[in-house]
Amino acid sequence: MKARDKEEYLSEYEILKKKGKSFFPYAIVKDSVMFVLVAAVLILMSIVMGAEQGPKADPTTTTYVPRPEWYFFFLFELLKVIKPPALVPLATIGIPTICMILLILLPFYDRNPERIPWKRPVASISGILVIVAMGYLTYMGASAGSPNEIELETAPEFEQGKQVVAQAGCLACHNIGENGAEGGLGPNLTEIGAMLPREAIKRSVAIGPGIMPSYRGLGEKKLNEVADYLASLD
Amino acid sequence: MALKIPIPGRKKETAPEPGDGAANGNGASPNGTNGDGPTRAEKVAKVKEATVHHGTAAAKNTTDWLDERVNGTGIYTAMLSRKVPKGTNWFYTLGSSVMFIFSMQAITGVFLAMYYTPSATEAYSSISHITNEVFLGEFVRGLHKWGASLMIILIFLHMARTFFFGAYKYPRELNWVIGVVLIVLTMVMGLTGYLLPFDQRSFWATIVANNITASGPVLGPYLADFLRAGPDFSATTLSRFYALHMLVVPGLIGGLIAAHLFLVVKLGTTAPPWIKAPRPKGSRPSELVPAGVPMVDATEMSLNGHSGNGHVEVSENGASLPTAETDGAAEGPPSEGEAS
Amino acid sequence: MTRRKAFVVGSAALGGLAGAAVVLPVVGFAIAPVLTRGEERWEAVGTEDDFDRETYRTVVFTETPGIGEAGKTTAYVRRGSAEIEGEDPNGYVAISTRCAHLGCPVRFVQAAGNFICPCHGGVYDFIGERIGGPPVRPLDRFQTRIRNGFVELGPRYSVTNQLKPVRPRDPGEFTGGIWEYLYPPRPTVFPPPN
Repeated sequence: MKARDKEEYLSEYEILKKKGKSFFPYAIVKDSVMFVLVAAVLILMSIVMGAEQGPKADPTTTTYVPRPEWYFFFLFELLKVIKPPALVPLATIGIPTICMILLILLPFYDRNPERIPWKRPVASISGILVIVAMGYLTYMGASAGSPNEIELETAPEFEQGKQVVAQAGCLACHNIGENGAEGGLGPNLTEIGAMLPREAIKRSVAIGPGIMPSYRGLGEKKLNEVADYLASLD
Repeated sequence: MALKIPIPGRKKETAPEPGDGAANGNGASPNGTNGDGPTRAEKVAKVKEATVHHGTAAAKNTTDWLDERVNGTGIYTAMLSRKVPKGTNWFYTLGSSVMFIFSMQAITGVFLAMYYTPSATEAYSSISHITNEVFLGEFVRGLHKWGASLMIILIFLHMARTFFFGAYKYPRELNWVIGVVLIVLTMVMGLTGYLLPFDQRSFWATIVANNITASGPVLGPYLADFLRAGPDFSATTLSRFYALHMLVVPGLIGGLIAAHLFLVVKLGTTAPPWIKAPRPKGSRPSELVPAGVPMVDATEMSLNGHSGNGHVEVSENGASLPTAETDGAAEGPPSEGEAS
Repeated sequence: MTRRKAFVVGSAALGGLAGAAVVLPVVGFAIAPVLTRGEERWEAVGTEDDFDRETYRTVVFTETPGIGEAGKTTAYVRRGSAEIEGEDPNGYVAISTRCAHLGCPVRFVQAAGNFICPCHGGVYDFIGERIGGPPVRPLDRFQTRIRNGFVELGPRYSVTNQLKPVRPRDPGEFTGGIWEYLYPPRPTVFPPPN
């Protein structure tokens, strides 16, 4: 920002301020209305949703599915999306640190004297994109199902196979409905039955093509149940 | 805008001289009834007068007494009767709402601390006790829990408002920096407070957060050891998080809010960017400055009194009419005065 | 040096001294746990007959004493197998449930012979090597030994991608190469077994 712009802003601001009103009580009355509103929302939330206490912390669990508080969902999702191990420090420390530095230094690299949002499109569009990205990551993090469960409805005769699929760890790489690793290593299985015949599915599960491990260890009975269930997905 | 140091004897009309106070405050009852001694009726009247009017008179005297010593009027003028620019709207209430909810968090937090035990073996049962047995326990805990979420939402809305209104630009850059640090500290509050109920969700979220810290190169592993007080979750991990959550971070937040507010008062709140002061035609100085003309140094400008000492006057139609003082400031390039 | 300057320097020095006299011990007090190592613990988790070669048995034992349930952890234990390269058939393998990505609790899935992590989708094979997802190294292990017919578990250690034991580190930290310097040794942990 050049000295000329600074001077222009200050004199403009001085005029607007002269034409404005006293903070007390003309502006503070708005604040007070807002305080009442905030307090009302807070009390309502506390009464309606309460403060439920989950099961006691258990470091020995092997079945619990940890999830963060909602305002860290974007980070949680970021950690899920960034798959290659080599990029893990980037996701945990790198990206958040870079974002924080960019945020703190914003007034020092955005030297454009213009303040009206629609007259500084680069800044405004970047701001909106950041909000959309954070919102999207938060939503994805919030809706991410457990990788040990399948919430997709299924016919009762395939229920057994569904259990096996959920418990066998397929969802660590694959996706079925809302559950599993979206954008993961393996293909999405939500409609696999429409793409592959039952026998091909069974063979794949038993052999483990490519990087997929063999699941022959499941035994013939469970393999058949898994194949039946997966073939029913379409 | 500097806080004005009061000059005794040159007070504003809001602060009358001590001594005048009694006479001005309750002019209906002059206290000059000395002489032969009061009659019974007069005594009754006096007692009655005292009970009715004493309160206001005492308040007035106290205000005057305090004013003489701490310059309350000066603080009032600077903090409260300062002007907010034209166009100030509801978006400008987000910042104070964050402060309001921070105070609520402080209050509920202090009272929750009266029942809470920060130990790995007892934390969970003390939270159960608060939730299930203490009168209004679940309500107060709910206020604190949901207050955290609300504070995060409001602080991000406040930041978005600042961003889209361009309010982080000159001369408020420093306040933006303080604000970002406050957001980070608020997130740290969320993180450290999350462990305290010591249920599954909070325990595992903390484990993951700590391991995220540990994955930072060079310093990360040591920082994680510091937070846990050892290589694994240990006996003092919970009390460390507790100390951070209720002493260290709130202290930092309180101090930074004070600095943030000081700058708000000093620099003034912005007007919505689309609100422009009406000017005479052709008074866009930035377009009239020819390229290559050296600009006046910013510090020189402010030395010449460009920070709100009333050198710009508002005429009837609201246009800017710089005084001679302004012209003196612009030695080099054509000033706004010359351009208009 | 003028008198004024001497006073400036003097007041700064005295104030700094008084402050440091209190602050330094407090800082030392707060960071002491970063520099000290706890006592080495070994805990019996079962007899030799309790464990198979083909599958894991889940055992719970205390990793950090003095804090009750919160100090316990889970390990998957099996006998060493001659078929797996580099394993001692007379020894035991104890694999930690702590995911090497960010520390969530992994689960051993019997049917597939895999370990899966419920957080960010890490998958490990039967010997704890990463086969999918974001984990940066194989699962950590615990030292094992046999005393009076009981299998005992000791300090934790990490392994490289070649399953070579190295000093234990937190999840999310790589082993080997330049990472040995980027994640320097911590005084709080025990050296790896040889």
